[in-house]
Amino acid sequence: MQVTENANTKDAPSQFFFHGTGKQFFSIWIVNIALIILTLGIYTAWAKVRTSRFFYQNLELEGSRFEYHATPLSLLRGYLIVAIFVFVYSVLSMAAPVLSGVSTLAFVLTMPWAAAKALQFKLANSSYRGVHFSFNGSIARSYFVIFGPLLGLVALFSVVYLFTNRFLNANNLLFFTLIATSMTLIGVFMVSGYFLHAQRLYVTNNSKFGNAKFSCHFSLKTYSMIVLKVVLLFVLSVSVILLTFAMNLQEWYLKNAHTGASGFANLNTQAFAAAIFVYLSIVAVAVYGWTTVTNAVWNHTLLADAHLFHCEMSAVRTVWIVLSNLALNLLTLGLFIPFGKVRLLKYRVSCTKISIYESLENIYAEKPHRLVNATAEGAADYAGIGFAI
Amino acid sequence: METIAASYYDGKNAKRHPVHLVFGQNGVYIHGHGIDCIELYNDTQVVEKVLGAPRTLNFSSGARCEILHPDVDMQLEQVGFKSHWIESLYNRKRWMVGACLTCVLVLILGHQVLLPMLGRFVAKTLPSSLVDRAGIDALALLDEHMFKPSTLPLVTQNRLRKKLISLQRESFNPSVQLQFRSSQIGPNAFALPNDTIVMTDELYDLLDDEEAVMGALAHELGHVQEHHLLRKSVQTGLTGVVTAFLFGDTSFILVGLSFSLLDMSYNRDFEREADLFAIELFTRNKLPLQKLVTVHEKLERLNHGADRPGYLSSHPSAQERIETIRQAQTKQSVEEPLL
Repeated sequence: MQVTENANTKDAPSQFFFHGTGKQFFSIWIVNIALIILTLGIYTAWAKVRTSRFFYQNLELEGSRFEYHATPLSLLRGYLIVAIFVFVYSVLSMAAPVLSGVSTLAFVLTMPWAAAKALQFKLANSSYRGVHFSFNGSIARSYFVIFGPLLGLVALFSVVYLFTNRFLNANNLLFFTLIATSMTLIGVFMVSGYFLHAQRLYVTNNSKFGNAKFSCHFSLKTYSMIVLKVVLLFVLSVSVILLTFAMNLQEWYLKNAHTGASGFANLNTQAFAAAIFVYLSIVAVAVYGWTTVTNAVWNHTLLADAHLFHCEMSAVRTVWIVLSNLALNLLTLGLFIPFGKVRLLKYRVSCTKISIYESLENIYAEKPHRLVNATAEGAADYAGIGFAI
Repeated sequence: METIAASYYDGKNAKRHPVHLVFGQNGVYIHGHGIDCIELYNDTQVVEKVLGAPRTLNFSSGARCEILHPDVDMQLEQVGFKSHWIESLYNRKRWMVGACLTCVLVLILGHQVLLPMLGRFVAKTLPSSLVDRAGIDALALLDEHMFKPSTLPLVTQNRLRKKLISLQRESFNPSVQLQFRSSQIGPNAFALPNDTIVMTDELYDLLDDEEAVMGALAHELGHVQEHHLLRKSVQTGLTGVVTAFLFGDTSFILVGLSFSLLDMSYNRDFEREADLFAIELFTRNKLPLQKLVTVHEKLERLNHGADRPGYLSSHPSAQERIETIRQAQTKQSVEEPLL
């Protein structure tokens, strides 16, 4: 669906701004960590709220800032529940391994519920110009978009496994390995493409700003093309690295086979270097994928069917930022982390705009019609679960 | 008081009203752009200051104001809105530096002192039978994939077992078992969680000297008697939690790297402790410490040139370990000049 330009659209899209600096975030970050250590972790809820407030209130659009309303105590409840669970799980895993397996399974089963509730809590506690956001995606759909891909991948790998078991033998090793690998790659591509797309749509199409609905018109076809490119890039880069490594490996083998254990040290260094390169290419390809998808999603996202978002991050620049952040983090033993985060966010925000049709004034606040569950937000946040926005 | 420019939102829609505020005795006057009202301070919540952001006032009517004016903090304080003492922790440079130092100190202290203390405490209080299952399962797994039955004659095996028992003397630990295997992994000896020591035939052949073999076994016995496996799991486990917490949401590689380095440093400490245990055991049994040197020399020859720099290795260097034994030998010759 296209939004046609007309005389009522503003001349130029409105730019988002992020005003916070790395230096400001550093003092928040380091004091947070010190207080968390000194309070043996209890301060985490307050730290989380302070950090969120920093990021929200420094984000500006059309002269107004965003705001985060959650209180530390509501998050703390969720954290405590998860902490208790982790403790019980550790004790169980030593004494009765079977029970710990059951509790893990139970925990996993609650994840889609927790993620949906957490999103609901987060959006309900977010506002712009006094009007709150909201999310009311169905829990059932959450289970579908989160467990769907997992079950899909399990089914895929079972099929591939059975297939190779049945047909693979010494004669046709190479041929069937290629078939199995291709099957796996195509399967992974299809499953992940479909469900990642479904997840994005689930999050966007169920979110509102006041009474204005968000909608995403990002087709599965476009999304799949991006996923395909990412998968191919990944396979290509890893193959190049492994081939180079394999050539060195052969060289090493011919030279060192007779000396036994002593040769292993050199092999270790080589393997280590190869692993580093593989890791870096994974990061680069993942960032490329993330940038392209984020751009495409936001370029097809509308608010109230009238206001259109724009996002034009350069994949190359983003990869550079991520990798240089990583290098600086390593060099400074982690002290650069807050600076890196602000740096990346500033770039992303600078690439994000919204074409406002007439104005945003027509959007009005709505009363929340469902109780929001802070426990789930706390729990989901603590356990690292969540939908990417 | 001077008027302050601000943005006013009525909380019912997303319209921004540019207004002017005057802070009075009991409330704030808001006027401009069609807005003309007073909000009492009793109905006003001043949001905590956020670095870089405008000051926000939330009114119980649902309306709010965003104020970017530099004087607003001072005026708010003048009419009675005091900031929480915790704010100064975030805004004053001295506390930021203090936080930095605290973090660094606590982390170093935790790693060097606190975690090892916790490890020793857990080892003392936890009954070792809890981890026995792990040891039995581990050996079964190794037997399935990497080990074959030993080719050492039973006579030799039992002789070594008897020697190990007599080595322990009064501090004899009845749960210690000695198992022999043959393996492609080469010369090696290690301890399992259920106090079983496993030795490969290849090590026996390499050392070619039963007193040196006892040296290697004494080292492994050190791991058992000092509960290194249990202490290691506590220390390494908590190190993992802390590194994951600090670096987890930024990058896995930072977590992995810091975790490995810290874990390896713990490993080196345990190896040194086991070495000292072996030295002490040999001294008590009046066995020649030179045999301990032999073990390290022979193993070093096997892996020559393979040593990575100290902090990247999970074991102390062979030179360091031999040096420790030599120092003990010197001490011994000083204390017993007639020997």
